[in-house]
Amino acid sequence: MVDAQRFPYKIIDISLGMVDRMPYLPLTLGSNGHSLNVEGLLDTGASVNVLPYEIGMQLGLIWENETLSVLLAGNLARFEARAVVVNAQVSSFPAVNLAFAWTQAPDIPLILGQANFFFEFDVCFFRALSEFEVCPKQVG
Amino acid sequence: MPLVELMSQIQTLPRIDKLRLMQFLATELIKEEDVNFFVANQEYPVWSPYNCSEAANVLMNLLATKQQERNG
Repeated sequence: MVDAQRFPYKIIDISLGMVDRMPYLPLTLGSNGHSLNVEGLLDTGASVNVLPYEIGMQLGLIWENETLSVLLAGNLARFEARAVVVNAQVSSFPAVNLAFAWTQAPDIPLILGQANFFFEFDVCFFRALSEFEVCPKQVG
Repeated sequence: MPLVELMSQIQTLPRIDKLRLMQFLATELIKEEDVNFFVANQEYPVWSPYNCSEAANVLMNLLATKQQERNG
């Protein structure tokens, strides 16, 4: 990958046996003059990005001001979600706008999914090395 | 890295990191002895919003709208 950045898998719980680490990407989210360092779970099986309620609040988002509803599936289907757009910076790559389903589901990770994280970034997973590589999308 | 060099570096770690290292090594050794991928009675949450193509359309349309507002 051209100009790729490597990151280690994050150890989440050593009591989980073999499934003890996941690909969490550090990134900086910005909105309304607020900036926040977060970690997002790279989830190629997720149709969309998902923003936990608490993180949205820390970014200055106001639930009542975001009126575009989003319907999610699976564990998240029971909770209301609304569409928001925030600025995202990964490593030293150019910042991009990421659209998120801002959910009221409690205790969930920030999820980076197909729309639109994987539209903006190319990722290689090296699970055997517990590492992954990220670079901005290659156009042309 | 030679083991002797690694051990000298480990000696400089704070106590809590040494304990975490012991925990890590114990887990690694257990994995080598037991190839079961899952731990009995342990929860493995799956949060993926899968098969949400309509949700993806909503978000991408919002992005396009924001882009138009920025360009207009």
